[in-house]
Amino acid sequence: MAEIFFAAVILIFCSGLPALARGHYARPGEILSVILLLLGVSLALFSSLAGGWQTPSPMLTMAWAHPGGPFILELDGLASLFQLPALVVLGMGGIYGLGYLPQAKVGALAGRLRVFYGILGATIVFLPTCRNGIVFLMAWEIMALSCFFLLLTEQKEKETRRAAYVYLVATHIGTLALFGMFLLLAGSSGGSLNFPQAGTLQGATLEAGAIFLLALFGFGMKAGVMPFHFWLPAAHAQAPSHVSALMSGVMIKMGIYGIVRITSFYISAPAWWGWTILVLGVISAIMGVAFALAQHDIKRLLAYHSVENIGIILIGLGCALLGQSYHYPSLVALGLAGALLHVVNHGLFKSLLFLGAGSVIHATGTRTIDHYGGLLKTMPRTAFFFLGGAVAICGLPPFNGFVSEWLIYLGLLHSQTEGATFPFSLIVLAVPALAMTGALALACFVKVFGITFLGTARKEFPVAPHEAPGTMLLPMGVLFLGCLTIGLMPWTIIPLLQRGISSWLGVASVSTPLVSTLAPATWISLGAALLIGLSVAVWRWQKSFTEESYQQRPTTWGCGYFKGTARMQYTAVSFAEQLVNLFRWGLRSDVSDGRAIGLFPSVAHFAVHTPDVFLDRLIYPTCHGLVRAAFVVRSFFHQGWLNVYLLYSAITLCVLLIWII
Amino acid sequence: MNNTANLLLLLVVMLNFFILGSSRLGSNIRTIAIQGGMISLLPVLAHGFSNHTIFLAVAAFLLKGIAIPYLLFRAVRQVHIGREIEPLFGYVPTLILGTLATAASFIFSDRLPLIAEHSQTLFVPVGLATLATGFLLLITRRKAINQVIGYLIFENGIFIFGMLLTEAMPLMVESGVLLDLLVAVFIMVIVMHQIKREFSTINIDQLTSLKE
Repeated sequence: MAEIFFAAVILIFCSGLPALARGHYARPGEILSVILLLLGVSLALFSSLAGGWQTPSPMLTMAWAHPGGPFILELDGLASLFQLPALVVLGMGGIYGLGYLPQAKVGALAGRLRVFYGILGATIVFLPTCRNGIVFLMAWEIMALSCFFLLLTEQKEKETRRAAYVYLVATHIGTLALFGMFLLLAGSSGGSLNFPQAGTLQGATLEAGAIFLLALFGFGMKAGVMPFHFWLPAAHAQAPSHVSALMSGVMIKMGIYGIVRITSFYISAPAWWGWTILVLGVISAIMGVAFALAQHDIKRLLAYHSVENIGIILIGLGCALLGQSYHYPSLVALGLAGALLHVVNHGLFKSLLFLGAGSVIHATGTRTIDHYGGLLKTMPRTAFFFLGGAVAICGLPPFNGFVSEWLIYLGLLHSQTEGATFPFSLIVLAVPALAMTGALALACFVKVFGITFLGTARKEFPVAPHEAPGTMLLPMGVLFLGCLTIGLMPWTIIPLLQRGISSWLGVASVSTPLVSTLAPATWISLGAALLIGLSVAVWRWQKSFTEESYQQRPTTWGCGYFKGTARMQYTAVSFAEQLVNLFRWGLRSDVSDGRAIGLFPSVAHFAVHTPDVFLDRLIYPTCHGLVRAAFVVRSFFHQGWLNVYLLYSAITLCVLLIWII
Repeated sequence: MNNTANLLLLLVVMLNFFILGSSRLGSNIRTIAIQGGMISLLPVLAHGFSNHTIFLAVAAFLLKGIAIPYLLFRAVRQVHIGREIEPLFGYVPTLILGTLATAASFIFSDRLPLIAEHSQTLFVPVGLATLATGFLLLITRRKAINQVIGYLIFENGIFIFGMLLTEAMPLMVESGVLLDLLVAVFIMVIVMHQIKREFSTINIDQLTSLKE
């Protein structure tokens, strides 16, 4: 099984090559490349799911000439949980690219994009199976670099180059931490760079703490955990939409995968690990959604929602780790199940949203939400799929986001069982935070959907907006169905979650209760079915009496005016203003204030822009200061006198000689 | 054998001082020729007669004692410079610094954990002192030809140091180093000629425009 999987990975890796064909063969090459990609994806999906079911999990070991051990890959339940969304999104993004960036429109760029898309997809799919530190780091680096080249697709824009540069710096800082982490890990598992078995290391040592912190930093940088998320909004906004979908839905999950895998090695994680992850999760969730509310670039907004969802995943993971340290197995099962399911779910609905946003951008040519309006009439299918994704990301039934958040809620609430001691019972405080996140996300997506698809058009476009072609609608439809399936029938995926949990726990998995007994998933199906039936009934009932007065309806966001103009509608800024004001202390928006003064005020302009606090207010100024200081120092030492340079060497030599005696 | 070697090494130190204190380029080149000729005897003195040491001694003598001084004399004739009038740092202070550096290298090598065989001889302190002299010359002199001489003294210091390793070092490496030295001097002489033609001086302070 592992051999089939490896072959599929190689197939995906090379799938972009036919798309490099030019001229007459361009379109067939492109289509061949998609077929190869889909073939690889289905093979990998089959072998990954089949491998996840087998006990013991299938392994492939190859000796090869590099220091640090053999080439090992293992297909366990944890890996297949991360591969499932990755493969689905990868295949769908490949199809989507046919309509979004066809070679007929953008030329050779499309071919280059497909090559790196295949490479990125293959490494993402391959990473969760690596069982050797060196191989893992190599795959990690290939992933980072291919993503960098994908980001540079629209390299003529200055913003894109800046985003790619920030991304490259951030990812390498993270990789540096991972190098240290793997070396320490090799030290604590007897000098071998192969991964230790789950649940075999002691977590209470100083070394384990250092490994945990380095992993949290290195993997957290990739995952976009709140203080380290600064590269993420610009990168997701500047990449082509199906690449954003792959990055946001899947690639940043590799950071989560890393944290999950590293914590699985330890049998007794100290409590501060869980608390750290829980607190980081709460911060990322709330601040991520607050930043999202303040954005008016649709892709930047979605990018901040990735930060929020990473936060939700971390809350689940923190709950599981705390359950392990305080010996409450039900918290472990529920928290981890919620976190892992949210990984799958977020992969599906976030890529659905990015693909939907891509269709809107494809139709209008802009990413600014305030230029949209009334797109429901011209793009009804895109709007429908986008709405599904939006409901899912807000954690509402009958979609999948609800199921994972429900599992996390259940896990957090299980901390209130009898005999819970003081610090442990504080876990429940994450519940209101999670609830607030959900509410704010709902507000944010009411804003996005309302401003984009409802109301009337705010701007005349040179080419009238049109519905996306079938190659773009099909992937969205598949992802929509995926979201709906998990939302309606969560019991289909719970056995896979159980496999993931047991490979995380290793030997300790026998004493942990089953998720299916703790969380009655069939009730969700029933509730969701009822909800859908009820909605359809209400919709039909409402339709029966609003039919005749349809013509006289005022504009949707027209502030109540009956004959309002398009400019009277809510804008993205005004809709979110109240909520954004609540988070003024953290967002630090730039308000260029056009105040209307007097009885007959002149023309005034008003704009609000919310840059990233960490990148634009902290990291950039610090780096600029450093560069200036370094320049002063350099122009003092570096004056072009050969004798002076020789003096420097002499002084260095003397210092070294004095140092060794 | 060791006594003769030590005597030679002390003479090398004397020649270091002479070069540090002298302003005439001609006598500097002559001194470096004598110094090179003297240290080319060291392999034989330190390790006895063998094909290896004799080859090394002959090659070093031909290069350091004859070929390189000849090249330098030619260069001095070509650029018509007889002496260094205004060094960056005066002759007497340089001499004092050189003395201090020599004393420091003797003290320093006393404290190094050397094997008994090496601590009997003066190879390590004299090697260090010669290195320091080369550095001093490179830092304080303005004329390009004195820079070359400083570089050669520096190389002599390394050669003396390398004597400790002659048994261990393959012949190939040593001949490579000697050949490198010859080529380096060749290039420097050519460059010097070009500098003279371009700036009508060989003062290296004209060369600051290459900085960023």
